Amino acid sequence: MSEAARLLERAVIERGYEAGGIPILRVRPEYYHDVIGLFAGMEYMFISLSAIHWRDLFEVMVLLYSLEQGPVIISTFIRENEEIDSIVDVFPGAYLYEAEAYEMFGIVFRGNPGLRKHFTPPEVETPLRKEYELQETPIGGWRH
Amino acid sequence: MNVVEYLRVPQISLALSIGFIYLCVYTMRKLMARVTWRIGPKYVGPAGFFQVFADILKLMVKEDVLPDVEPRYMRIIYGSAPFLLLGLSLALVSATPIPYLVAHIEPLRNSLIWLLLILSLDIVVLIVSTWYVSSKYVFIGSYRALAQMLSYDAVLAMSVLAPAIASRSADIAVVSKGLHGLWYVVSLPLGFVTGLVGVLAEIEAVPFDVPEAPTEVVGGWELEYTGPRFLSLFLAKRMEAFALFVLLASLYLGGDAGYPPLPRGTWLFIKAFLVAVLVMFIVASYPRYSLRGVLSRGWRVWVPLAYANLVLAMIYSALW
Amino acid sequence: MEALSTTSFSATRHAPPTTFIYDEDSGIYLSMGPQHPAMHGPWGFRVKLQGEVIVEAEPITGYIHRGLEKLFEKRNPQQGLILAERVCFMDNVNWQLAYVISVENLLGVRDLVPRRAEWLRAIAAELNRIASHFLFLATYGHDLGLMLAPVFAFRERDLVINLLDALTGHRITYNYLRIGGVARDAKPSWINNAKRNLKELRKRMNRYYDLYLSSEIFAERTRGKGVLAAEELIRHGVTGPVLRASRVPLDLRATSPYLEPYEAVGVNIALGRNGDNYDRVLVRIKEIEESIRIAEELLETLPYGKILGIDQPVISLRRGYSYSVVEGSRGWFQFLVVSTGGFSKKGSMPYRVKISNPCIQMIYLIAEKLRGMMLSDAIAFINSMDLCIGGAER
Repeated sequence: MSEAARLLERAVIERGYEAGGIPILRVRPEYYHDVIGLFAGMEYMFISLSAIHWRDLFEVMVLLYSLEQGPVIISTFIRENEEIDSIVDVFPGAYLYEAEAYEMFGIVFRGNPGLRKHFTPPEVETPLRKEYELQETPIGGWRH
Repeated sequence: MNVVEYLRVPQISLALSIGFIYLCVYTMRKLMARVTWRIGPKYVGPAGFFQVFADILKLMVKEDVLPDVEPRYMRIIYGSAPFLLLGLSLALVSATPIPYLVAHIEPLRNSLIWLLLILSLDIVVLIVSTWYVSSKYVFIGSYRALAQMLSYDAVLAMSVLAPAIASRSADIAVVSKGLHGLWYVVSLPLGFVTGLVGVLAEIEAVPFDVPEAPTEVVGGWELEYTGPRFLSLFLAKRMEAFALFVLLASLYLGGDAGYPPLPRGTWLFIKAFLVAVLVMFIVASYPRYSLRGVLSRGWRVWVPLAYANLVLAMIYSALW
Repeated sequence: MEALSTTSFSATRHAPPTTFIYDEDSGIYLSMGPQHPAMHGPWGFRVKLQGEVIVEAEPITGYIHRGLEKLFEKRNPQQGLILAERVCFMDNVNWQLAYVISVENLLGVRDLVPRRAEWLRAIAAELNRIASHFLFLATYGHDLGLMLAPVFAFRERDLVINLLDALTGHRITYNYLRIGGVARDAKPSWINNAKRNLKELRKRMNRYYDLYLSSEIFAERTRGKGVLAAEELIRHGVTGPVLRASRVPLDLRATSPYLEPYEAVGVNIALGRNGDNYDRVLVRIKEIEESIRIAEELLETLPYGKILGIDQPVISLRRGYSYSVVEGSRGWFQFLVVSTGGFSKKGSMPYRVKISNPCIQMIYLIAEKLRGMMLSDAIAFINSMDLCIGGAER
């Protein structure tokens, strides 16, 4: 059994299919970085990273694509206040996606140097969390 | 020689160049409109002829804003640079043969030398006035202008000197007679091309508008001038262009000679206008060089070509 | 990481240097944007210049974040249609298409969409792609100082925009797609018009080869400038014309068609050679021609039938995830729609919508590549990427 297969066996919790027909791998957060690294070695390219706020969990989904194999989604769940390894060392394209997830949800990616506000004004904090209410009036002004 | 007569020269130069500029700006607009299947100015005056006048009026009443300049006394120089440049351009037009032709005055002797001297002065005004300005785009634009001027003034000067050497005179009137009656555009065609390139670079027209590239340095060194100062700068630049077109026409295109004979100066004016139209087509149809491209082409292509032309002129001068 | 050290002067972000100091070591800081004639959209770079050479560049973002993803969570799928096309005004149909496919997959009604509707979707998407690429040609020509380019390209774009106007009723935000079909049918007269306009457009395409590609000065500005290696782009996950200019044959319309008509007519992938600015322009011009061909063939083979497969508005979603990817004019337009299901007011709205496209990666890729470039090359490079900042910040 190869090392890759052993890693996958340890890391993967669940395999399934998305509604869009894209296979999804749910992995344990401690193996998340290694699995991404594994796929990077298999000539997958990074397409995008999304985060979802479930009740007390955050889901981080990474869409990878390879010319031969097609798309795959790597997904992992972390608790609030839990940190996750950044994948910018494997895929530099994830830089702003992770920074955005930090800005919108407060998920901390260990090793990403760009975790600061890129899109929202300073007054706004973690706007995409479920407890953040949409506000009618614009917030604050710009300070650049 | 009556000295008082010469006092009329700047007045006539100013009148002529304003007329020329007005005509050119209007033609440029109409021409660009035709090329791009549009109509162009239409409403102010017959066929929109007074549109330019309306624009001038608008510029006159605009607010006059100047950026901070440190030390303070440099602000005076920076603020007056457009007017200084206007004066220089007027001197440049006064050195060309056209006001003398129109006023029936005997032209200046060796005016070519005088002309080249004034041509090299405007960059000094520009650099001195913009060096201390707190606007970065102005600063970058002015050193770009300096870099471009350094390489293309040589091209222009050599192309201007070539016909003079071939006809062994620094009098524009003598040079415009051509090489034994043959216009220099025929005997020195390369010189006309390099001269045109030099003129384009000098007046910062499109393939060579690196110093003021609106999409790179946002207007460059003329960025911070508004209202009347901008108008003055606009006039100064176009007057310089007028002088250079007249120069090119009189050196290479036979000066005031033409058939049928028209009042003195008319043919020269028409020829300068034709050169201007040629420049308009070039401006309309080419993108801009990058700074590196402009400089490397200047030294690697245009300076050697202008030099070859100069050598050819020397051969002519030695043979005939 | 070397690639990410642009953050080193991020402290200056909210307090930019105001004093103007020039010396050889420090250079000058220059704000290129958000108000700069060559930056299309409210974004830009704060660059550090030494002479004319950029030594550091930091993107300026945050001016056009509209919170679209949060807004989606408060809209039912029908209302979301209108939001979806406002991600980027230059390519609305493709954005809406990504959203519609995603929602249809989630509802399981993807098969109910009539063939005619699929064809009309593809036609609208191709027309919109043509319009978007013409907008690129216009702005890029203008950035390089080509005075004719904006006028010509906007006029050509108008041929397409007029068609879309006649088809959908709008010139910019078309709101043409519906869940389960399209909003309006194409009349025979419109089809004839479209054929005529596309034929005219094909005739005019030669001008772009003359104006851009065969001009010596244009070649000087673009050839060998801003070269992006294929490996680099793949590492950053950049897709679309930029990737194809670097000779990677990845076009979803051809490799895994998301609409039936693309399969029916076939799509030739336009490829560049070296991945420099020149190739990025070339690829887009070729893609316009290819889109004209596709649209013409689709108009020929347009099947008859209904245009809407679902006869009632969709106000609820099924539980689950749905990821859809569409080949837009700037790369892959992606919509992730997550729903918890149910028929309550809350259940009818998506739980989470994630919008992404490669413009996001491009921001820092450009910043990284800017180092060492001259200012004039930087403009030519940045705009050859044709980044839509509205689509990137959402």
